[in-house]
Amino acid sequence: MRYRVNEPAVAFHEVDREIIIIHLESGYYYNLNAAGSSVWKLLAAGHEEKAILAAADDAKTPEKSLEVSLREFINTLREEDLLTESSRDLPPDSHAPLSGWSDLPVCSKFTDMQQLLLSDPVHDVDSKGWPHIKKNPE
Amino acid sequence: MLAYYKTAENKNRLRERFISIGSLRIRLAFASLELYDAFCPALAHIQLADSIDSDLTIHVCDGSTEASPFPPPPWTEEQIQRRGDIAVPGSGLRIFYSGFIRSLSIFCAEEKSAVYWVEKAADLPAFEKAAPFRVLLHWFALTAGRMMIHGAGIGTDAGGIILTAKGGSGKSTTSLLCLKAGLGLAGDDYVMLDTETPLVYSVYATAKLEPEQVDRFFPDLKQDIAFAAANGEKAVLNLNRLFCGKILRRFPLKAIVIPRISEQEMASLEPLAPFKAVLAAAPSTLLQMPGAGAEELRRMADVIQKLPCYILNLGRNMASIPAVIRSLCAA
Repeated sequence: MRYRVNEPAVAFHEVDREIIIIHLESGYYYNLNAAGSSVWKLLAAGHEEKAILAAADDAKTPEKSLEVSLREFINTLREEDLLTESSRDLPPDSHAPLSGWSDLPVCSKFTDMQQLLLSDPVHDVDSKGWPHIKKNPE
Repeated sequence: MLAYYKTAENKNRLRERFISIGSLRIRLAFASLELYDAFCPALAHIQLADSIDSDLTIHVCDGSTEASPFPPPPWTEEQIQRRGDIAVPGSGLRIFYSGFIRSLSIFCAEEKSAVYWVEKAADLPAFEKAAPFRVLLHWFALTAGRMMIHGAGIGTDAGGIILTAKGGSGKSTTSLLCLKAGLGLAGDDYVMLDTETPLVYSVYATAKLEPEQVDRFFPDLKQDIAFAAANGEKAVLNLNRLFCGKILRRFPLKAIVIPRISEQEMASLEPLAPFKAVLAAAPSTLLQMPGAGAEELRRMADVIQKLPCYILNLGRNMASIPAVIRSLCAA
């Protein structure tokens, strides 16, 4: 499985080896630690998920749960709608370049800004259509 | 929309105002007296005495004229995004529709022209009067290497800080405390930032406060409430009367500061890692600005990484806050 970043709904930027992600439609934002940022960059570049998991297996880190953590991490990115499946045709991965693991990948989620999106621009429009608004929206 | 505006302008008397935000010169053409009265106070400090050649004209009208039918939108409901921005590929337009305010903002960089329409001027919420045209001004700013930032700009002509965080975190209270202690202010909620230099520019000379905060901390400012609090909104203070000499037109940005309410006695600073500062500062700006995305995030991150960043612990002794901020401005 390959993925791409769910742009333009998602904006991201790397600062100090950590990725900051803002989901502009849900109002949630995220911080990936250095290990998570490495995985994000591989996924965003189109590397296959199974190649990344295989590389994690090859890495033989003392952390037994690395592969499990990676699966959970990638699932989180999908469930949060930060990544979507991609069908782009890239050369097959032999090995995704995973190295230097010292931490498990972590995605921290922040929900305190969601109220900024509470005013919905669409669903209060009445039957007369745009730009008229329901007087007493349900 | 321009034809609709022209009809309104022909029916009502045209009122013009010219403002400058640094080198950016803007003509405001009002075909609505109510909107003229609602929006001009916030911009009075950057108003020019004479007419000028402008870099942008914003045509301002409302739906009260009923002089002509409102033009049907050339887009579908599906094209309206979550933040109200409307994607019309290939049009050269940036469009924002606010269902809450019932307003429409259209910007065309190529034509150096914009339209601001609101269905009922009388229903405008106070926050719109405190910071008029901010979406249009953000899109215009992007064409000049600048952007609108959700934050307070506090300092002196020699330098200052941007205090940024979500609403309710103490930006306005801190801003007014600093003003009363002799520091200058470029804005309490939004400023324009040149992300290259980096210079902070003032756009609005207003402050928003909960009514109980006005009573508790700033009772002497009650007479400067331009728009009273209503429907759970904050009151809007016009800062031009009491603090006209302290409204900074621009200053060099020296630091990014994130306020945090704390239980300690005196205000204090803690260094903050740049990625944490971006994490604290960027979401509130991007989520409030229709159409903002990766470009704005990159610009904010680039500026923040070049500057010292701090947590400002707002102590119980509020009088200690201005001195802490003054120390950053002088750095």
